[in-house]
Amino acid sequence: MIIVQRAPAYATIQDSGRRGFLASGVPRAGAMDRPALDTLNALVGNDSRAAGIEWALTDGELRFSGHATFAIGGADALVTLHDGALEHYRAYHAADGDVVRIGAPGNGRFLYFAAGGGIDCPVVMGSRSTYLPGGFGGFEGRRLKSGDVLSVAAGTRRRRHQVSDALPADLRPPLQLNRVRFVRRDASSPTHSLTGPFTISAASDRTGYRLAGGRIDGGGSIISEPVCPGVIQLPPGGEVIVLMADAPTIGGYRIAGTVITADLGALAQRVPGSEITLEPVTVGEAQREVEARADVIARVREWSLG
Amino acid sequence: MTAPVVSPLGDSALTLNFGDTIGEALSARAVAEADRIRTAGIGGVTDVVPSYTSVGVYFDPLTITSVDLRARLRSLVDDPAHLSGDMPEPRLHRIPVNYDGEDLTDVARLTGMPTEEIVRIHSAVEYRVFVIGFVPGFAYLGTLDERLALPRRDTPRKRVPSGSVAIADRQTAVYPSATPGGWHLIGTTSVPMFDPLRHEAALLNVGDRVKFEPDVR
Repeated sequence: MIIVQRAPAYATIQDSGRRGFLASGVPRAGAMDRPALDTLNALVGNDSRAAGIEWALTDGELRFSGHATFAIGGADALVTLHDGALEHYRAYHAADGDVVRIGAPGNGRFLYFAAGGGIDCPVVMGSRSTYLPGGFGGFEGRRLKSGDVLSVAAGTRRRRHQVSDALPADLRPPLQLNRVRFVRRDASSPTHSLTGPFTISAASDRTGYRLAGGRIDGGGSIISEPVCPGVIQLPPGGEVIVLMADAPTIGGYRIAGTVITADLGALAQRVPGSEITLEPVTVGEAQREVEARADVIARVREWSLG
Repeated sequence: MTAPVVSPLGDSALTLNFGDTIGEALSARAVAEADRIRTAGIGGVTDVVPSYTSVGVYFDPLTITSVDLRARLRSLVDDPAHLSGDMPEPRLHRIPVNYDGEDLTDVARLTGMPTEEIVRIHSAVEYRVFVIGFVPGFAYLGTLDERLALPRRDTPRKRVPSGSVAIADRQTAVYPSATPGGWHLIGTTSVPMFDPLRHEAALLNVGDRVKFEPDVR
C-alpha cells in the first residue's frame, strides 16, 4: 500500500483513459501526458492499462507500507528517498516505511508516479482514471487527500533487478515541445494563420488549453459535432482552444485540426506563459509517429527486462 | 441520399458529415449509420458517436489506420441498400416531472402564458434525443414548441441541481448532474439520468424518444 502522507494541491489517479463511453458523453480522461505514464508503466513491468498518480502544482509525500517497485517521470521536480535525489525514468525499490518526497513540479506541469502492479482502485466504465468534473473514477472520484491509502496491485515480478539504471535518453518521452504538430481538418482550414507563435494561457487545465497571441480569423459556431482530445477549436472571439483529456465529447466551435497523438502529452506539459508554434502534418505522418512511440515503449519494456 | 463528407479528427478519429440542417432526417441518418458502423464490428474501432448531422468514429491507430478505416467506412455507408432495412423501433422513455422549476414564473412572464399552459405544451411533445454531451449523460432533446423557445439566461447559474428539467431555444434537457448551466429551469425529476456505477451509465441514447409526464402529487 501507499499512504498519501502529505497530498499536493493536485493529484489524481489516471490511466490510459476510457474507451467505449463517448456516445454517453463520458470524456476519455486519463493521463495528460500519456507517453510519460506509458514509459513508467513499461519501466516497472506494468501493462499499458495500469494506473498511476498524476501530480501537479505543489509538493507532498508518499509513504510505503510494504515493499514496492516504483518510478517517476514527466515534469521535473526534486524527488527524494532517504534524502537522496531520485532520477526520472529509473525504477527504485521502496521498503516498508520509506517516504518519498516529491517537490513542486517546475519544468513541466504533470509529474507521474507509477508503482509495480499499478495503483488499484475500482474500474469505472472500463478505466481507473479520475474524471473530476463528474466525481467518478480513480480514488473516490476526487483529488487525493492527505491520509488516503492507495492499494497497489500485485506486481508481475518479472524484473530480475529491483533497481534499474536510468532509462537512456533516447527511450524517454520528450518533456516539452516548442513545435506541436497537427492534422488539418480539411483543405479550407485556416492553417496559414494557425502556425503561431502562441502563448499558453493561464486558463489552461485538463479540459483544454487556451492559446493566446494572434487573432485567428474563421472562428465561429457550428452544429455540435463529436470531438476528442487534441482538437483545435476556433471560437467566434478569435482565440484558439486545444481540447485536452477531460474535454466534453461534442463541441460547437469550428474545428481547425487536431494535435497528433504523439505530441499531445508534450503539449500538456507546457506551462502557462510558454510559447509554441503549430505545424500541419499529414495523417500519414501522424500515424508513423504513433507507431514510432509504440515502438519506443516496446523497447523500454525490453530494456527494463534486460 | 448523398455520400457523407469524411474528415480526419487527428490520427485516431474520423468524422462523417451528412449535411448541415438540424432535424429528424439527418439525425435519423446519423443514428442509422452509427448503428451500421457499430454492427460491422471493425477491429480497432472503440467508439461510434452520432451527433445532429454527423458521426464520430474513434479508433486505435495501432490496430487500424485512418486511411484503412476511411476506405472501410466508405464501402459501408455508400451501400444504398443498408438504410432501407427495418430500423429498430426507438426506445420511448416516460419521465415524470414535477413542474416546480425556479424559472417557471419567469418563463411564464417571458412567453406571456400561464404556467399551466407551459406545462401542457412541454409535456405534450414526444421528444427525440439529438445528441449527448456537455457533461456525461446530458441529452439534448428536440424539438421544443416554438412558443416556449427562449434564449439562454443572461447570467448562467454556477450550479444547476441534478435532475433539473430545463429549456433553451428549441431544446429541452434534464441535467444529469449538478453543473453550471444557463438554461431555464421549469421542473425536476427523480429519474437518474446518469449513474457511473450502473450497467448502462446513461439512461438515454441518441435516437431515443422521451415523453415528460406531469407528476401529479
